[in-house]
Amino acid sequence: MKFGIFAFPGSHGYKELIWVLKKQFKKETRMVWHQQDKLSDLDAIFIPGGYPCKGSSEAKCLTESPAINAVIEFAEKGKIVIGIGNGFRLLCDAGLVPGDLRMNRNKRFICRHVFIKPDNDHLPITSQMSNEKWYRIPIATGYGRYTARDETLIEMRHRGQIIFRYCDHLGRISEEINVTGSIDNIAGICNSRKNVFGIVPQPERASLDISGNTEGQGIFRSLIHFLS
Amino acid sequence: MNQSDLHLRDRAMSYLTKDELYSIEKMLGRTPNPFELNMFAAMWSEHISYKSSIKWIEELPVNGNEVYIRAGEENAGAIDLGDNLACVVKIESHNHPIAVDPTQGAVCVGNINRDLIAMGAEPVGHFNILRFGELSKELDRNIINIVIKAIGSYSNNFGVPVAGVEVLFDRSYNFNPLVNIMGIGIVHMDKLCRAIAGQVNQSLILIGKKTSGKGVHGAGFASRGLREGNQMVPDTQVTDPYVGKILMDCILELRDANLITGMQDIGAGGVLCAAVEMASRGNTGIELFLNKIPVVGEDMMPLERMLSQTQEQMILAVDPENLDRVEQIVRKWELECEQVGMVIREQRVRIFNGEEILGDLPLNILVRGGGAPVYIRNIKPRGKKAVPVAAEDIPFVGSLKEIAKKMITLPNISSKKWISEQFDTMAGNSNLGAEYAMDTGVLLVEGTNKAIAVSLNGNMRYGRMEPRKGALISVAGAARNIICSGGTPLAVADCLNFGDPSDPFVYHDFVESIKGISEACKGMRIPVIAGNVSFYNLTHDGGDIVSIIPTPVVGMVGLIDEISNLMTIDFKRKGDMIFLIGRSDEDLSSSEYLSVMHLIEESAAPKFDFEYELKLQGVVSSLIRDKLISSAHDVSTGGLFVTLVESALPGKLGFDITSPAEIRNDAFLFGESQSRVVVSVSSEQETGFIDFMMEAEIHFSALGHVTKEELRIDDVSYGFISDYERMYEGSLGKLLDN
Repeated sequence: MKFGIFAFPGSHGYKELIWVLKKQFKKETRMVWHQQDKLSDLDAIFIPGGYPCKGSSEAKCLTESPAINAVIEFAEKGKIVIGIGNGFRLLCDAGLVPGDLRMNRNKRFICRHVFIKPDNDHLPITSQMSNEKWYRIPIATGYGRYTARDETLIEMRHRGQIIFRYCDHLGRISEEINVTGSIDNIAGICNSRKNVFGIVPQPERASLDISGNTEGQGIFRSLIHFLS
Repeated sequence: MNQSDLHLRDRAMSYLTKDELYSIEKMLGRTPNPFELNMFAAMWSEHISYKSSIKWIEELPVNGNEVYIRAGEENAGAIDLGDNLACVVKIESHNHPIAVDPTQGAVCVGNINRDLIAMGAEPVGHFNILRFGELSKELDRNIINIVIKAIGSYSNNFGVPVAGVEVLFDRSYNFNPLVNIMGIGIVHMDKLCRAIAGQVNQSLILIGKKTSGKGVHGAGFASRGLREGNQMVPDTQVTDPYVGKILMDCILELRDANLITGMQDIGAGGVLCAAVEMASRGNTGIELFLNKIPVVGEDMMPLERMLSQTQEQMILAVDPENLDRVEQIVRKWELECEQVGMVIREQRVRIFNGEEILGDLPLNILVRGGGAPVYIRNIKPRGKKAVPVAAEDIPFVGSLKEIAKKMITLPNISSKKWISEQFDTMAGNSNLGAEYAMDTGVLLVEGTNKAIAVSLNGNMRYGRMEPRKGALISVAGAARNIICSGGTPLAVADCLNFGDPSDPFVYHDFVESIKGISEACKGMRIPVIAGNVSFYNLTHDGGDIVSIIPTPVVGMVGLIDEISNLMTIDFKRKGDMIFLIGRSDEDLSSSEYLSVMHLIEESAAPKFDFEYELKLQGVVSSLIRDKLISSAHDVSTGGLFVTLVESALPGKLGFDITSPAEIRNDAFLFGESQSRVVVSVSSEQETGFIDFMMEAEIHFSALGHVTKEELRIDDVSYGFISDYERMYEGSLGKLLDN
């Protein structure tokens, strides 16, 4: 089992991902530099957060990156792709998942612990979690407000494409606790084939035993379980 | 002299005094040409030469067992952490650029990264120390919003956590906000780099962005006050965090390939200052080829090329045989890479523009410690007596319960989450403060069981009337915080923010503050490893000059040698006993309570006994090591009540305490008597704790116990923790949300 960590020159979430996958879960990882296009040795790819390119134009980044086409091909083969934070935004821009991520409702960057509740615990990244539980995981984003058209959203709900929703410390989902202002408190979604996942919360920041919060481990355990 | 020479000369002379010109002519044995005069203007500016402060800074203790690179030797200091690792420490002020144009000015925070990288270190944590004006003014509220957003939009893109934010508000910072940033980096000893140009014939390579014409005389800019009108429009510079990030990764790759023999960040003073300082450390000289400097636009004057402070640039000393490999790596990162100079044997600075020599000066007379002037300015104490205020000196007003609630919502006391949540505090997975309730920043040292504890301390009230004692207490308080986190203090980084040094009152406060820091550091055997001086923090309000109050900020670095020794401030469980270690007294001097509730802003610093403080710190340290306490939180701004609430909040618990009969209640709850720590003790720890304390020869008293959620003092209910949570967490946001 081998994980790829995608990196543009401005990406920075890769350090945490490598730390968690290597040290905590003892898995093989390698970086995928944005100009590489050979991915055949990998079972899953993470696209971490960060500020990928000059002038913050994600769309331009994508068109100029040879690796993105490889990632699209990788996804088309049914392999797992997970975008976290700004990596989720890249997946939206690449059309790999429906909808869009916009600036947080309060127009500010937000870094804090939030609670999320799985909406579908039968996915490759949630199978070891439960819809009846909620998990404390941090977010760090200026663009975490998920939006999608009504008809898209209805379809996504119908197909179980909504992965996580923001809730409070007692698991209650309300508008008051909707930290980024996403539609339906959405914190993560996937494509209809359920192999491309986008999440705003950053489980790699809540998975090391030494850091005191390990509630993000369920996502990695689910994924490893799925790939085993 | 032709028109353009006259212009150049006037430009330089707006930064130099007549006496300085005279001394230049004397040392040089001739009149410098107008271009050379500008070299002096930059190198002799306060910002670069430290001419008004160096005399006093030299009094600070800089040596210690763990000190690996001393303050002033390089661009940052370094301490030995064991395991072949060093911790690199740097502190900087960015007050002027941010006061004038927050959005542009905030990019200066990238400097701190480059100063750490220049040592070969990877930045692992930033600490933001912020001072803002009164929140009652809309303008100041707007400034806060803009400054926070500007710093965040730059620093959130680096993957370096902001592991601590210290914020205070005072009206003297209206229009004059302060932004000090402390940076921590980690480096393997064998990868440590120096800012030195030590080998003759080495090439000086400029990498990063192209030079833009902005930012000329940035050093001079930071060395004068903020004037009214347009003549002091900021010379700071637009930048792009993307470039900052890739420059960092590029340098680390060059470092790992062993291609760099010396490097320095381009700061105020441009390429000239960086190259001169490198040569000065190497006892060499330099030639600079200004026409080789890559620039934005064509028509840039040679002077602008030489002095422009372009962000995201570094200068490297590279052996000639490695030039190709360096260029190859730098190009891969799509950055500029140009040979702009050379190291020469003769200790001179020779500036070329093509074939033409624009300046040719002995290097020594340009630099601090060489020919740069050293000033001891006029000193005058303010003449007002610092009067201590005890409880009996003031009337007892209102209900304690109402005062307690009010205290919790004050901007200087309530939670600063509204600000800190706009920074990425968790990047890199090393900031344990993101998860544990701590008063210090705690950064895991990857690959070890150690952590670095960082405390920021700069109470501004204590130094208002007694700057020396105020600074001394700041150092002691910072050490107390480190001790309470389970660490051992290792080194201090100080950032001294003051008004105009030619004002004898201001200069007096400055000198006294340094003496206070020095006394404390010597007494605790903690060396100063890094420092920064920022003068001219003043505004012209009509005809009046308004200086900020003395603001020496102390950043202290400590080592937690084993993560299992980490101690947090929060109460752990209902029923645990709460003890106070140390002694409370009637002193209300310089407390937040006295200032806000009694409107007395000018009083002595709180009483302070250095020997007692040392004893207290030793006791708390032993209690943590012997695992005899479950939490430790020192009493500081706001007094004991605020300390208790802060310990209760993380676990959403309450407390039930009894006050001693011999002290008036307001002094007991809100006085800021120094050298006190609140600890909680579980039933299993209790016997061991009491046995230990009976032998410890220091005051300790049982305050009460931890409750499920109610706050009770002397059998009176003060409400529930959920109410305090709302007030403590929400009040700053209420003021600042617009």
